[in-house]
Amino acid sequence: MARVFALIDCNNFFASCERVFRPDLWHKPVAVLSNNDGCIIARSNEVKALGVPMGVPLFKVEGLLKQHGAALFSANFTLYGDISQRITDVMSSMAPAIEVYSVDESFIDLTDLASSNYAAWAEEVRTRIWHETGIPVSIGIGPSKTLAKAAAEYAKRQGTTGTHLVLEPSDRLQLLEWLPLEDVWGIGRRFAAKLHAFGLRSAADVAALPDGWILKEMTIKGLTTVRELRGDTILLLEQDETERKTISRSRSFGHTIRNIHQLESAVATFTAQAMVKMRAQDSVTSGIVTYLKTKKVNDTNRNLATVTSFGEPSVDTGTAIQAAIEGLARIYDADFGYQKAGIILVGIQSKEAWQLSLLMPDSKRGKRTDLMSAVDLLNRRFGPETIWHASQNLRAARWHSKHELRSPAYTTSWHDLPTLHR
Amino acid sequence: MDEFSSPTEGVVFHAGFPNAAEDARASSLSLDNLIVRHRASTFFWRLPEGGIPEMGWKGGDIAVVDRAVQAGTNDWVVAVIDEVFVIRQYRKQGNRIFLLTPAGQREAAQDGVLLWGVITFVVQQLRSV
Repeated sequence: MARVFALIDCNNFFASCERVFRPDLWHKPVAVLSNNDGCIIARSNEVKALGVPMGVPLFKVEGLLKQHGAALFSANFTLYGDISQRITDVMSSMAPAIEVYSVDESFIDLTDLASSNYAAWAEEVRTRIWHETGIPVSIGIGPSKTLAKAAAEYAKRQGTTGTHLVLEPSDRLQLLEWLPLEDVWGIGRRFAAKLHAFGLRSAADVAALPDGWILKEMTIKGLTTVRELRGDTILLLEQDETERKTISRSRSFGHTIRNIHQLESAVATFTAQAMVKMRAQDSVTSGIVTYLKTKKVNDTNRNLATVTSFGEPSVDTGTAIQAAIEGLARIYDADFGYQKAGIILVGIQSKEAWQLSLLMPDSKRGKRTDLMSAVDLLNRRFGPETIWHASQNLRAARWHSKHELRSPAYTTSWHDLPTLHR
Repeated sequence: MDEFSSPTEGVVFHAGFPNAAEDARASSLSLDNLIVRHRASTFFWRLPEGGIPEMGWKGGDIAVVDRAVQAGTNDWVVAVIDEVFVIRQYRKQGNRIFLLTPAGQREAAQDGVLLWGVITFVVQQLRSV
């Protein structure tokens, strides 16, 4: 049976989150800044229309944004994590199988959906997420994950309905001709530049090439991407069903990253993915390790790692992202370039065991044990060269970087609840 | 203050997570389960200063708002009017829908009124604990 995949992509996710409790901003430009308030990391459509690029330092565009009455926010990962979790909950109730790909994107395998009216399904998902959480999403549907992702991009930029289906061959060809190589999932900007040198511009250009050439110039990974573009299903949902005591996520960047905001975004994504997996195995987790690997200086890579405790075991994505980002702020050193970042959830135990432990008098369990096992883990993984930063409690160590423009924790703090008017 | 012997004597409490111990006993009741029917779409709001005296609700009481629930006549709802979140009562007469202010006045605004969610519970704290 032919497979069908959907990609659900939240539009301008962080900026959209900032709008949920701010109707005065529903039609105004909104931009979100990285945690040190340095760079733009999310833009509403109005800000994009002003020509403000992603990742630009604020000082370069501050005048323009002020002139157009834009609202600026410091990143509020607690809020984004909570809303991300709500969206995952809505999707899970409507999808046979789901892979949370990032904090604002999920793949869904629709093959086992009872109805084959995918357009109607997508419309219901979009409407429900919008009505129930206040976040607009775009949906792409196709026979492969790569095509679903491309279709979602098309829906976001070109479409009028917010959904784009590429189940017919003619739809697929039209999409591939529109799709620039640098926007193909799995190719990326740097590799696209190499392909441009061969005169290749669109996804359709590479899809038409013989497999032998692709294998030679683009490796087996490239051939996978191209076959997916042609409509073959190669990649399946990445779901790990086995129960884990630690859950980790990391990525080697392939090039050096210096900007903390890029690292923040990577770390937030890893954390969101890991927390979904953690909840799926009915566990709670007590803390998170954030680690970075520098590029080589004097012929050695430096490993930087820290563990941040949640204070109490938690299942909450927002708490975990906040902790991961605070850990990152402690180990990040602007003097280095980084080639890898990752997170490890630590102190994982089954929800049931944790609840029972709360009923046991004189239980020896607790934060200290969790953190000690995290220290052991770090030493095993990184060896004695690990630069160890004292672990800190999330509540005790409010992090000191600038976040003057941060919105309230509307959904995660009793002190920050929004107020109704008469 | 009177001294009671607590039925939970000997149990170690971990402040901040009173629910967890409750949950472990399968038969005991959780207010969260009663009040939050849809986790994804339920939001907590504070009632305005002065409260809604017509209903006996006080300022600072917590309104539980579910965005997945379809409003029915006489429901209390959260609406967005002139870019402000307000509390209103929903009325449906035949095909006509209108909103009443807490004082029972017909809402004047006609355009751009958005129904944000339905208030399913109001939580009122009677004294500090």
